[in-house]
Amino acid sequence: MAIIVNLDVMMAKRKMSSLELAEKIGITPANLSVLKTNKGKAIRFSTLDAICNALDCTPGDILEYKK
Amino acid sequence: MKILGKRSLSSIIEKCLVILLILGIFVTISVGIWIVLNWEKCMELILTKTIVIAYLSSFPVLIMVVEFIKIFKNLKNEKAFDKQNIKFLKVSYIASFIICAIYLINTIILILKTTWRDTFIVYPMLMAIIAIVFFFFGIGLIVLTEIYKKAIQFKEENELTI
Repeated sequence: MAIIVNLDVMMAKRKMSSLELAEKIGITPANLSVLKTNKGKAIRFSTLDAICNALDCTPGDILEYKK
Repeated sequence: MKILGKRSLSSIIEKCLVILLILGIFVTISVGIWIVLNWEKCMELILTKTIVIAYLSSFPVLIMVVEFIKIFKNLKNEKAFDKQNIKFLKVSYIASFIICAIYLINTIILILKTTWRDTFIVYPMLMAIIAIVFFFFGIGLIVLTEIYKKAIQFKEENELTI
């Protein structure tokens, strides 16, 4: 897929662990791992909203389009 | 009554199919031995030759029963949307079309090589009906396979939506 999730980059910038982020946004660490490894098929707006809120960023910081 | 899972309809059907498979193997072997022992007698008439050709359809039937046992075993284990089921359905529709082809060949042979006096009219008609039934059964299985593929795709998408 051409959409790449750069969640690990933002997490490193904010110095936040996977477990901590998963807890903050209310999803399981397994689902967060799916998202981080680009295995996910879709992302809910509510999840994206929670991630942006937790990491204090915009969707553009997390999602990237590569041709 | 429960459809999926243990002690359900799927479990009962699976057991029935296993019994059917054992009986089918027994009948196939016995008829095979009988045909080998009476080979010359079987080859005397066109009508008996077609019976020998029809006997060949027992092998795809047994394969189909084995595949259905695997499908119902998955249903018993509550794995309704398993990718393996697509493979089992594919083998089943191929087997169904082979059976259809065997009976179609028999029907053509009976129509071309015999007169209405030699064969009872119902016999070639019965062969043609079996061929048509298995043709539509194969088509039905193809449609079911495609629906299954779509269902598994939707299930995966749903599971991987975070």
